[in-house]
Amino acid sequence: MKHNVSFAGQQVRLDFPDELEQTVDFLFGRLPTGPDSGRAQRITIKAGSQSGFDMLREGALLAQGLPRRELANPLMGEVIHALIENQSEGLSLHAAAVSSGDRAVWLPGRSGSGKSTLTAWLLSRGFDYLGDELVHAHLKNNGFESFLRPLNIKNSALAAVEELLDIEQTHPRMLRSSSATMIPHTEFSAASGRDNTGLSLIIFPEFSAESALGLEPLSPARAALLLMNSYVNARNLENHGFPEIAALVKKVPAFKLIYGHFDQLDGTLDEIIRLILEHGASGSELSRWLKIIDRQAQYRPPPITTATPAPAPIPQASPAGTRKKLTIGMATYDDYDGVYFSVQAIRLYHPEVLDETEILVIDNHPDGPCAEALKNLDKWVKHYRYIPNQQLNGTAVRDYVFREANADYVMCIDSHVMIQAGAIRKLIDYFDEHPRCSDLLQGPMLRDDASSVETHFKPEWRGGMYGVWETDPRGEDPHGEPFEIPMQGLALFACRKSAWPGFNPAFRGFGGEEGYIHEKFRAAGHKALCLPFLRWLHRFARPMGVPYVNVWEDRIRNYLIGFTELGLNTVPVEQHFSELLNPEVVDRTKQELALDEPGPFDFFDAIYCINLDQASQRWSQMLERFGTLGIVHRIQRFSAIETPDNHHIGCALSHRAIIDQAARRGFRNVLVFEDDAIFHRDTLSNLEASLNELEGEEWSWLYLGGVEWRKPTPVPGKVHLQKPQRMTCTHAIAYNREYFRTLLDELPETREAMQSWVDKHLAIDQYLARRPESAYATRPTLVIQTNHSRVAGAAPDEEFLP
Amino acid sequence: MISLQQVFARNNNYQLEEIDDELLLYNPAHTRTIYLNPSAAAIWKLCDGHTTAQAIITALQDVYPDAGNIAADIADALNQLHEFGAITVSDGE
Repeated sequence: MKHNVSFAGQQVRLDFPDELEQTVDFLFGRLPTGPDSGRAQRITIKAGSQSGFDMLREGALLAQGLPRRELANPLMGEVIHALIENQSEGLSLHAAAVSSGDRAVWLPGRSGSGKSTLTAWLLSRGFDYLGDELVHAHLKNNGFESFLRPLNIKNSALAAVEELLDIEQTHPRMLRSSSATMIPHTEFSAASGRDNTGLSLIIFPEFSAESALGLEPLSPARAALLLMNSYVNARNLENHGFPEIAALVKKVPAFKLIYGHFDQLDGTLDEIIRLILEHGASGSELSRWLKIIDRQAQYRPPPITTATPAPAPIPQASPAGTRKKLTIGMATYDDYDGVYFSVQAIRLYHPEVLDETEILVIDNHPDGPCAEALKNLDKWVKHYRYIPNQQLNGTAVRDYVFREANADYVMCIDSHVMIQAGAIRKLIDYFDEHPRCSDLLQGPMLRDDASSVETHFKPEWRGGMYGVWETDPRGEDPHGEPFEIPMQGLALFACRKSAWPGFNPAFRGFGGEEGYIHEKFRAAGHKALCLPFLRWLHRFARPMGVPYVNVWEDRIRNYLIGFTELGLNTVPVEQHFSELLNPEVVDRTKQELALDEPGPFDFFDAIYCINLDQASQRWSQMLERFGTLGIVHRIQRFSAIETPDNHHIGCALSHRAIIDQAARRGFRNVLVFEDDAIFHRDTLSNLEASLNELEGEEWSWLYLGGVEWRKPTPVPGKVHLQKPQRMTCTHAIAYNREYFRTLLDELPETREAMQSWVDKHLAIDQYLARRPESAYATRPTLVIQTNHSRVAGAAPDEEFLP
Repeated sequence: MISLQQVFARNNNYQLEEIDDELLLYNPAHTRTIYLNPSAAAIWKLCDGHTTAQAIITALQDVYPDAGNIAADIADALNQLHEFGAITVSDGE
């Protein structure tokens, strides 16, 4: 069957099996269909090959095997995405909308901000429903359209919404998935989503459990700033529609609503909205109305706040295909052109290997401007896989390429490298002919004249790099025999997937990998070889600038860590950077690393600290505490996933994301702190003792601290380890590799699914507390929380550092 | 760090929207919008390529005589504007 969905001049054509007719009508039946435009984006749902439904867009597979009850949300999301993707005729924003008479109110906010729930409350107070997700303001006639879809309520809020709207009887017609429920909008006095309703007020809702009611008038400039956060088609408009946003907020009043419970809104919010709608007010007028004081010009510190348009939806990873002989992997950051030409050059000049080869692109900026185009290459390029990556960056991404590779041989290239015709065929043949080869294979870099070559790096320091280009005459003949090299630039290298030794987990950002990885192969008994046929061309010049930052301190740090790991003398590193930059930078980095002082925290492959972006003071305090332990250099800050409605959701998602990173990078374990951790005065010696006792034990996770609801039980023969009994909190916990997969399978990845999971398990610490089989805790407790220092089970405060 | 004798100039790549006495700066290349409250907007306007940090502080102290010691606030604002690329800095004459 076929159904068109039209919105604000854009159209999507849906093709679907007959059995989904009711579902499609439920989701999109109130939206205009419009005449067939011929330019409609095409989304196809078909019965999956095994079970459930597959969803495709323009023929490219988006999702496989979706159960019927889980289909609605992804389908709705994809339709909305398709409708705004090329929208350039007005401003599309994430916002709910309600109306009263011919006047409308917008409630902007990104997905998950609670705008649907507040919309339900407004409906219960007599407002008409226009939509809960997307509005589109026309530039020419000041009108707007709202995407009239079923009201989409998270399951955790469903009971409250049902009570508000008195709609229990509509249960049979609701569409319920594991995370959210869609309520038919025919239940409300829904006005048309496309009428003459004029925008009269903008409310930015901010729900925070237990918070007091707050109505903060927003000046037009501040309203514009907030609106930019919800703005979804900015990239399609000239100057990103900035002047139009500014023009809009000058005409429409706005305020921020902070609330902790619906009861606070009764008789206040509804009355204020009606007052404004009835009397009308400009942004400036409303601002003056609601200001209680400050008629005199008054100095305020000059805070400078910023906003960026809502990021584009992150494209889904391409499904992995059948296993190939060779993966050609590359990571990219906003370099579509580089990837395009690298990939298409492989197809044009190496057709003989395409059926044996997978092309893997790791996108390090999947909500950036190139993501969609990079993903779309999978529609055209056979055996191309796109993987969005938001967590890893710098040198470490190459580890990720190897882990994701779906082939026995892996060639990793920069996303702006082209390979001489015939060379990939010869590389595969080389691997085939040398089945025991675990060497690092590289080739000569062609200079821009495309004839002269640089075969390797001479191990010397120059300009902040270890390695200076050099040519070995043996590499000038492409038919020459392989020969050993000391090192070479890593814009192209290959080895067996199983032979990849990986980078040191403590590496940060860019730099320090050349020479290090070559030495690591040699340390494992293998070689670094130049294969003269494996010639490649590298784009160096970036006249338009590089969209990421190289940090000197990261580079120095990586060299020092790498050299130390390999037992090499670090003095040349220090001398070079002292001369190039200044000795203070080197000393500071060395001090951070404390390389000469191995400690118990070396046991952990990675150490993360979860911190909210706005909690900068907490972060500063944590850095001081880590500094006291001498582990600042080991700490990777993890930007906490924020879920104001229920912080347990964000907490569990943050822990899951860290475990996911650890799994992707092949870590043996990972230690996670939250940013309210306080350390025992003897943390180092006690931790060392605990870890010594942990050696040889099977363990799932290790608490360095927690709230003891039951007394931990002793472990025979152990003094510094104990078995936790109902221990909660996750402010200091290490996870073992053996349990990464279990946890990743148990903890859902998306906010919506995690919401349901939290409904069932309450929180990640509660979940872990119920699975104590292989868990251990240090004895004594080494880490407590700033606000839990006196709870039962925690040691007295004086034993802990400030 | 800002020194008192440095002078600042506005980056002309930023678009400007002045609404009442507040400013929004927007650089299409960065897709970032910067909001300046009236005090910050005044600082921005004084970044004319000639006025030193010291002179900006003096000017704002004249406008807000009761505000106390505002030098640190102004230095922070100049630093932030500089980090965002909204102003350029030079050592003055």
